[in-house]
Amino acid sequence: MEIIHSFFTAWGGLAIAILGGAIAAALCCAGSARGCGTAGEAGTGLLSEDPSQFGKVMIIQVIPGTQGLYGFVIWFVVIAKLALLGGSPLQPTIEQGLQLACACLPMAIAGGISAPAQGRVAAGTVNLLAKKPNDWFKGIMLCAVVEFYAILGLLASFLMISSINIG
Amino acid sequence: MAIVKMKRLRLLAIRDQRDELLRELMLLGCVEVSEPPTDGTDETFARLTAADGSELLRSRANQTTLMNAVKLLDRYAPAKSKLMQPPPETTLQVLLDDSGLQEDLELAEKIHSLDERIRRISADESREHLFIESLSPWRDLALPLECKGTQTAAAILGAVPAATDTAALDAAAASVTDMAQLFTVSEDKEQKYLLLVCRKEERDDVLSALRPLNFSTASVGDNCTGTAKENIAAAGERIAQMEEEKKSIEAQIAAEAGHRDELKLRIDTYSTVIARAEAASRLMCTDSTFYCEGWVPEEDEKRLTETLSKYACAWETEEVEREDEAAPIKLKNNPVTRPFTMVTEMYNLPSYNGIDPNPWLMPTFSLFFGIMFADLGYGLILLIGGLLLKFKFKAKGGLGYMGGMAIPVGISCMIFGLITGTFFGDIIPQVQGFFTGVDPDSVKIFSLIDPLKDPMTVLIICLGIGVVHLLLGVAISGYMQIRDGHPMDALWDSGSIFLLFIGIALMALKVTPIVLIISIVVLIYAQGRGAASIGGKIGSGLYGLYSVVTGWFGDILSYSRLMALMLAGTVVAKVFNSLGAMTGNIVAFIVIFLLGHALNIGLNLIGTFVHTSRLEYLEFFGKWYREGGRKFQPLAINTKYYNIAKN
Repeated sequence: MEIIHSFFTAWGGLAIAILGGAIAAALCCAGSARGCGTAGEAGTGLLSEDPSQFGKVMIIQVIPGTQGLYGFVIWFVVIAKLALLGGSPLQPTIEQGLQLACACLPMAIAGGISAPAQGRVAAGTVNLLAKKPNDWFKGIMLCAVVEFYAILGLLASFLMISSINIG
Repeated sequence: MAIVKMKRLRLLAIRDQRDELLRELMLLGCVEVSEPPTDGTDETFARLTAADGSELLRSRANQTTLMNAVKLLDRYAPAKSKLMQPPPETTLQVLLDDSGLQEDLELAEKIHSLDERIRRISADESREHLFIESLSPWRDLALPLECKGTQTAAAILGAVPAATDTAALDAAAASVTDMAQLFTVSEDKEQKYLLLVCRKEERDDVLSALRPLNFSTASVGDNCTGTAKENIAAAGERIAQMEEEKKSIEAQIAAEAGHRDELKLRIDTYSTVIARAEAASRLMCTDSTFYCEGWVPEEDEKRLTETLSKYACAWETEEVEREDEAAPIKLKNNPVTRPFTMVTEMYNLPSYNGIDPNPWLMPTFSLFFGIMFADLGYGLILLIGGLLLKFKFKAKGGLGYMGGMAIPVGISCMIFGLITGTFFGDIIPQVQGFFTGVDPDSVKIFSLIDPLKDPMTVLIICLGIGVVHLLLGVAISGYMQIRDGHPMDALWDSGSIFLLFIGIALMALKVTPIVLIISIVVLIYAQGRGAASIGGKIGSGLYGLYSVVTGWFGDILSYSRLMALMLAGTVVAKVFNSLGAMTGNIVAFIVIFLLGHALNIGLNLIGTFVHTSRLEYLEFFGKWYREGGRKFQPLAINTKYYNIAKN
């Protein structure tokens, strides 16, 4: 018990903080991969009929990819805060580590769930592009509506992380 | 800056002059020819005949032929197009000159028939490929395909599933007769291909013995002579020939690429022919006269009079009521506000008794876009892009509108970039830190407010801007009610809201709560004044108060997205900058900078456009906008490929 306690007080804060950043990056990237997958699947269907639409299909496919980027941003902010990449990381207390990990949650959850949802809208946009090529941009705008909530998640996480002091 | 006043036009003219007159009207470009009143109730109209629509159909078909020909040319001889070129110019005479149309049509037909030949050859080619595929298992069979046996022996080709054991087959054949032999010719993943030789009279017995083992006879190369190998080689030669022929036809099509611009010009010429034919199909005719109904903007009436007086015709124009829903909508704007028609049209045009929203959209749309996209560098890119689109590439249509919008919007982004001290995020401190080694956070940049350090202030400012925006909408709504002769409604509906906000302001400044209390009473009365009984008035008044308060609460909070998108863009930009600086390598820094900011700009442009539009459509238009107008579509010259040179 003593050993566990001393271990956690010595190293636990840093690990928990890293766990938070890792979850944000992992869930967001996984969600984005699913979203891009759905959109890309619909895209190949259209391309098999009309390969000249490749440029637009690619734009549509990368739209659900932004959540992964946002998750990566949060991960980066966390490890920059911990000075992890410099080789001599800071040693946050367990409380601070937990605070950082909790602050990562809005991004992790909002990103991981919104990306597949956005992927479905993007797949619908591919259909729109196939049937009404002139109106495809309206589909993009519908995708942007889903994007907004990932942005809010990013902001919530970012503002919390940047106001936590580690010393 | 307003909805143009329309007049209804009725015109009677000589039928022989129809085409000439329509041509003149098209050059004027200010008359919309509307559908004739043919509901059958008016006997006089019932006796007239609608114009013959066959020319319209023919012209459309011809234009499609030309368009397809251009597409084919683009496929076989891709044009070397420079990115973003202004469209070529032509003169009216050239555009409207239809003397060469027939020749160009014939050229288009020729390109079509060449393409048709290529397609037929391709079909033949794939048939040959199938033939080769069907023969390839028998490639090693030295027996000519037409040989079905000798006088006494039968040679039968067949196949079994690949998993079948050949020993079992041999055993099955041997159980019937010892005068049968199976040879394996080849095998692939699915099947084994076999040659069965047996005596003719035992043929059926052997086959029925083999059938339980899934032996099926194969008919290979019917009507072929020679071995499979020879046939495959011959087919290969035929394919090579076809390829040759296809290439020569493709070269023939590509040789016509020099006529591409001419064909494009003719497509535009046909657009004008179709426009006239469409107008003509809406005319009502007798043997010698025709009748035309339509709309003309009041401001163009004089020009129309000048033109019409040259012809033997009778016409009248009639003023229309503001409430007339049939009147089409033409928005008149100056060059600064005109591009925002795109935003208006994406929602819905105003109704004829509504108000042109463009003058209000221009400042508010730019303001919101600027707040959300606040960055000096990003704004500069938008501004340059807008200027290039408008003045260098002379873009038309949607792209032209975007260019026009990008100029005020870009300036607004630059202003807010200065206020928040962002230039490509925090690239200035990062670069300074990169070269001098100082901590980028310690570098001071001029800014009035840092949104990342003080988001609360930004939020409150954004919500305040929202209140002003919404109250502007209420004011416009009040103005419309006064204009339409309902000043009391304006006072109760709009005035009560203003009183409420004055009350809230006085309360917040700790001056007096009385105005707020009065305003709430006034609001309850205003909301409930439509009900019949006293109880109804109180009930619907209270309910109205509740919905006003919750509605306004939601509407105002919605403006928090201004802050959210502003911060999001900055955060992502900053992360890319520090990622780049962290590499410690100048090349990597530049690459990450370029890629990261390109991505950030692309994402944020779409997001910002959507959310700016949303604030305008849902919050602002919801307070006052009367929509539902039909776009004024005059008979005019609309070209796709060419711009018309002025004189």
